[in-house]
Amino acid sequence: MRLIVMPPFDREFFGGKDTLEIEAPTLLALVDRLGDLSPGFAEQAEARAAFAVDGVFAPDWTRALAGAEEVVLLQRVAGG
Amino acid sequence: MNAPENKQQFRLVGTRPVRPDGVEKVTGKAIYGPDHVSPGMLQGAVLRSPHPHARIRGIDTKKAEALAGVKAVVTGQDFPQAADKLVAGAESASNLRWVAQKCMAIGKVFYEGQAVAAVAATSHAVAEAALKLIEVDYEVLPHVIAIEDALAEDAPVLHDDVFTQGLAEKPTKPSNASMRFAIERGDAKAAIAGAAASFTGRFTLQPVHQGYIEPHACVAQWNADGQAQIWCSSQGHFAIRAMTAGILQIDIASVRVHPLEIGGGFGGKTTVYLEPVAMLLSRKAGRPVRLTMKRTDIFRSTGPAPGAVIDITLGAAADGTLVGAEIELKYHGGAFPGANEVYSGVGGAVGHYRVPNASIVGWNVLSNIPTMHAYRAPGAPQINFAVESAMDELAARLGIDPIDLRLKNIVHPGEPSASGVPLGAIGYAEALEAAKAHPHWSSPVAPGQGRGVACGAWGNYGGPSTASVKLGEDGSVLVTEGSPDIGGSRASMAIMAAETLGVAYEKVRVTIADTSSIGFSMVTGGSRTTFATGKAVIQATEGVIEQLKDRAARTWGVDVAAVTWEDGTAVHGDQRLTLAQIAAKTGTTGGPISAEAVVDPHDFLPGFGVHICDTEVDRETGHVLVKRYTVVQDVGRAIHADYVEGQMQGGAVQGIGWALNEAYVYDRSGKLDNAGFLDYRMPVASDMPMIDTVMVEVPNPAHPYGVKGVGEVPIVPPLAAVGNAVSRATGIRMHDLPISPDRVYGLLRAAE
Repeated sequence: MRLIVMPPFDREFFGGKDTLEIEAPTLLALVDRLGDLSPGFAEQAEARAAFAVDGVFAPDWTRALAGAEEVVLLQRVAGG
Repeated sequence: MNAPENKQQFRLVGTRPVRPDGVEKVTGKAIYGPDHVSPGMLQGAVLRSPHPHARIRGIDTKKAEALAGVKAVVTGQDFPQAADKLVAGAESASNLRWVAQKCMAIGKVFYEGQAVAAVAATSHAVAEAALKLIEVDYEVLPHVIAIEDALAEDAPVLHDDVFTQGLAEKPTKPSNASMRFAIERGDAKAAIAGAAASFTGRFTLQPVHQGYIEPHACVAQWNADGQAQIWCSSQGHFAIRAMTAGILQIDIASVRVHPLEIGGGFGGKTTVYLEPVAMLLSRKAGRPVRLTMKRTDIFRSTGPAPGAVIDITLGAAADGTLVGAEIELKYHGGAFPGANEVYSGVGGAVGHYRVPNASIVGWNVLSNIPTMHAYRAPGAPQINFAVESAMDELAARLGIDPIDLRLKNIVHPGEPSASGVPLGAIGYAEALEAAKAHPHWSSPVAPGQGRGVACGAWGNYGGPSTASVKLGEDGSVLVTEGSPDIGGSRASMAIMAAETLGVAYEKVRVTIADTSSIGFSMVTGGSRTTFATGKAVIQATEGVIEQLKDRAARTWGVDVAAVTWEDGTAVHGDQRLTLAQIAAKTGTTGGPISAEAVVDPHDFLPGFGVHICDTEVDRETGHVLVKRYTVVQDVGRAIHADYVEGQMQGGAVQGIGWALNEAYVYDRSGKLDNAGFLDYRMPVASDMPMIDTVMVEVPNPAHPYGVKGVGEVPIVPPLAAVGNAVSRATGIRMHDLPISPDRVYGLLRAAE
């Protein structure tokens, strides 16, 4: 599965890499694995991160990733 | 025209019924933040720093505490020492360490107007007198206000533990640049070098306030048993609860926040300034305490929208195709890190266009002014002013109609959005086609006037909402939601419930419940409420319909699968039972009927707007008059058409004010010089022409009635629409806001 890491997470946590090949059964597990790759990410993810799975935002991180081709990790942005 | 045909017709959706809260509001009976009264309530007052930057060596409150009538005094020492802790309550998280210091200085003052102490007393006069008896020992520190000054090598650094985030290598020195955020793709520099036309410019903007009329106010009551209640107006009482409980380190369930009517927020009322202070005063005094901000307090101590310095180069091929963008934007962050306008500024800079090569770098810059806070499409209007001004210049240089240039470059459904996620059923092309076909665009420009056009976008949002729907025994309908009604959402929720149920609009009444009476609902912000809370209301209504069908089926002794719901009536063959008939028999058919729905939808869609503006410039005085203004926007589908048009008009007027009049003005001592509506000039009705609106309806297929957010898009294009109009009227590019008479006068004289 391809993980597209959007700014600022690419530079902040993953040494500037904007694409990672990574497998995980769910988004929750994906967060844990990303936390293993970059200590500190998992602690901040819940408050800062959003995911889109194959082009659809996925607020439920228990969502299974079996069959998913692409996940986008992006920063949450507040409106007014 | 790309406008869709054969639009689905509804019985109530898209109509304009009277708002259910209208009579109370226009007769002065509605209870707003400063109106609530609790028995035995004390009056509070807040002492604020006269210095923009100072260390607090000590605060002596003894004389104030000894004054007759004073019941409590609090300072920063009464606040639990909040470490870094992120709390979600809105779309992005807030760090309680910084939120606490927006309520009360803890050891150090970072801007003029920051609270340093507060008093609760038997009257407001006694509380104000007590403030004068509080002695604060300040060690005044050098201050810095402007963005470029704050980035200078010798600038005073506000925080010795704030290091620039987002750099490739972790910095070793603290900095006022709290964050760098960049999006890079392709080779922007090379693409621009090979472009047929390019524009390079620097654009500047000053901080501006949301300008809500109702001041921040609350009443807090913290009892000896640890349970507390707060009455306040806000854009989200669940967020107020989360932040207050977090700062005071108490259980969320121990705090019950009652929403009062809100007199404007525009993003500015999604955080706490007073509530934790009133809570601490109440606990000390053992009585409820009211705190209300004065207008000058609002300007000096609450978060405005960032000022900005933006350098941009935009390049296009001879046919108008954009080839590259190089942008560096620096936004005011205010006193504390955490403002997230830079994210949307960078992400949305050219997100509404296809630009294959882009280097967009943003900086959040701290200085001694209040921490920035959300204001309608936060972070987007500033960068859009630069981008859409550059588009105007490219159109002129290439000899292409400004709307055609945009049509050539816009994003389309299926293409990546600024977030990287593919765009769904957006109506950007339809909005541009509608603008091009509008009589305003084709009318001749009057002598002495100039016409500008600008586009803009906002991502909108969904997120969690809870709603319940209950039937009265007489067949009337009660909707309860947890989203404060700012822009007429009671009416919109009633329309959607009535449409779904098949009953009259007037049969549905909507209540905004407190935090202990309805499940979690995110703030009314991000243009999310009609979309997300609307989905919750529709889902709960559908739950009620299922129960109604079940009651009818059991009454008739038939299978529920054979019962349909049509126009407010259960139908099985020739048998019919109306909603009112079923409701009247609930006492003997299984009890009351109600349903609750909790949703967290993320299938929202962004909105796009196109604004056309005609301005007339008085060449003797530099005064700019807006003569005609048209807002065209993809609104998905309007639930209550008046309120959608009202959002479009309101956003446009606020943007026009930003363009022409509004700015924070600081004197050399770092004090705000225009902390009142007489000196901070917002537009009034007599300044404006009628704002014409065109609702382009390209429905969101993920919403039962096609809703998209509408409240934020309309403040994005006006800055550039006005700037482009004035530039064409004068022949001088407007680079700096506000386009005030003195500035225009100076530019005209310099050009002579």
